[in-house]
Amino acid sequence: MKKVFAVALGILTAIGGFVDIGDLVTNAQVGARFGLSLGWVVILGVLGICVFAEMSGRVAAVSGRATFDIVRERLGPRMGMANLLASMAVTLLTFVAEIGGVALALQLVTSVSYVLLVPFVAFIVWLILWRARFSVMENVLGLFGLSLIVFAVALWQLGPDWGELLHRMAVVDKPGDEQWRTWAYYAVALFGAAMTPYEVFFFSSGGVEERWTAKDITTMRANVFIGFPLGGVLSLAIAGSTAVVFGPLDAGVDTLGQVGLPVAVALGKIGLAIALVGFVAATLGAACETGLSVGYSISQYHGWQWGKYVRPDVAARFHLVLALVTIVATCVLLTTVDPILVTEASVVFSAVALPLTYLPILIVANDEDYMGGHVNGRLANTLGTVYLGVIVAAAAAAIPLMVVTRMGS
Amino acid sequence: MSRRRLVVLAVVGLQTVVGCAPGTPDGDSWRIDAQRAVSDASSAVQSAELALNQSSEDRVFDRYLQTVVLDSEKALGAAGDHIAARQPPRSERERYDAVTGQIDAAADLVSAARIAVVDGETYRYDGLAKSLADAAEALQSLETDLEHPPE
Repeated sequence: MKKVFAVALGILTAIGGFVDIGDLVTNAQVGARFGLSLGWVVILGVLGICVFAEMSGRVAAVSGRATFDIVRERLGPRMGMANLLASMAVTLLTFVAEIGGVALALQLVTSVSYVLLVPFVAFIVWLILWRARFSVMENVLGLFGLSLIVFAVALWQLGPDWGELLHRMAVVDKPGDEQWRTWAYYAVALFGAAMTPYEVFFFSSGGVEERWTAKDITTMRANVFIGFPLGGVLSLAIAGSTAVVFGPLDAGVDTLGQVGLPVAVALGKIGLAIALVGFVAATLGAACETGLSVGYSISQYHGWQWGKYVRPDVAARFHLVLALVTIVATCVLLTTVDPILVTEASVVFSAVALPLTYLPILIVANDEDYMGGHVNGRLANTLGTVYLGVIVAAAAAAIPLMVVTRMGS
Repeated sequence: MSRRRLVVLAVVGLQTVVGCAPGTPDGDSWRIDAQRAVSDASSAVQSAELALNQSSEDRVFDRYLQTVVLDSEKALGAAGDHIAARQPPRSERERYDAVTGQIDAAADLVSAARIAVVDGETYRYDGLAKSLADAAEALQSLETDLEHPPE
C-alpha cells in the first residue's frame, strides 16, 4: 500500500510539476495563433523528455550519483565545462523567468506591480530552498500545480469542435495568414519548452536527494512514463483553451492575464481562482527546481558537497550559490525587463543548449562501469539517438529562426 | 599597423557609422511593422473587451480585470511607440496617420476602461466593451488593408 501511495504521489507531482512559465506562455501563444496545429510538437517533446529523464533517473538510481556529477569524470573537464556553461546559462535564464512568473501570477491576484513583488517572491524562493525539506517542497508545490487541470475542464466546458481540433493536430499545416518560418519558430520554442534542460538536472539530482536505488527504478519509470505525458496533456489543454477563445477573435496572447481568461469564460470565478492557484504553484515549484538545478550543477562540477539532504553548514558553498543566483535573478527582474520576454528567450535558448545537455546523458547511460547491468537497451539507444538528431536540428534552427521571424512576430 | 589593416578598420568604421544613421525603410518593411503594431493593438483591445464582458457577467475578479486592462494599456502604448518611431516612406504617409491615429484612439479607450475599472464604475463596462469591440473591428480592417501596398 505504501508503495502504491508513493507511486501515485510521484505521478501526481510529476503531472503538477511538468508545467512551468515557459509551458504556460508558449502553449497559450501557440494555441491562440496556430490552434492545435503544433500539438504534435508537444507530444514529440514530451516523449523526448521521457526518454532522457528515464535515462538520467536510472543513472541516479544505479550509481547513486547525479548524471552531471558523472559527466565531468566520464567526459573530462573540457566537455564538462561546455555542458555546465550551456546548460547553466539557460537554467539561470529560466530561473529568472520563473521568479518573474510567480510575481506576474501574484500581480493577477493583488494588482500590485510585479516589479514590487519580485523581491518578496525571491525571498520566499530562497527561504524554501534553504529551509524546506526536499520532499515537502516537491510534493506540496507539485500537488498544488495539479490545479492547472482546470484548463482541461475549461476546454471541455467550452465545447469545441473536437473533430476539427484533433484534425488540426493530426495534419502538419498552419493557418493561412501565418508564415511557415513563424510556424517553425514556434515549433522550436514549444520543443525547447517541453525539453527544458533543468528538468533532467533536477530529476537526476532529486533522485540522489531521495536516495533512490536500483529498486526504485520501477517507481521512477511510472513517474516518468505516466506523470510526464499527463503533464503534456495539461500543456495541450492550455493551447486548446486559448485556441477556442482567442482563435476566432484573431487575437494573440502575450500576458499571463490573457492565459487565464479562457478559464474565466468557461468556469467563472471559481475556475479562475483554481487557475490562479495553479499559476502560482507551477511557477513557484519551477522557480525552486531551476534554482536548485543551478546550485546542483555548479556544485557537482566543482565536486562540492551539495543537496538539501545535508545540513546547510555542510553544503555551505551550494547554499551560497543558491543565494547568489537568487540575488542575480532579482536584480535582472528589477531592471523592469518583461518576464514574458525572458520566458520566450529562455525556451528558444533551451533549444540551443539541448545537445550539450542530452548527449552526455546518452553517453553515461551507456557506460557499463557506472551502470552495470542497467545500461541502455536497444530501444533506449534507438530513441536516444533519433532524439539527438531532432535536438541538433532544433538547436541549429533556433537562433536563425528567432532572428528571421523577430521572435515570432 | 599595416595599410591593409587600416583599410579594413576604415571600412568597418564607416559601415558602423552609416549603419547607425536613421534611414527610411522601404514600403514592404514599413507595412510589416505597421501590421505587427496594429495586430498587437487589436489583440490588446480584444483582451480588454473580453475581460470587461466577463466582469459584467461576474466571471472575473476585480483585481484580475484591473491587471488585464492595465496590460492591454501597456501593450497599446508599446505598439503606438513602436510604429510612431518608424519613418514611413513617402507613399505610406497617409496610412501612417491612420495607423497612429487608430492606435492612439484605441489606447484612449483602454485608458478610459482602466479608469472605470479602478474607480469601480461597473455601470460603464457594457458601453466601454461595445466601444472596444468597434475599435478592434476597425483595427482588424486596417490590418487587412495593410496587407497590400497603397493604391
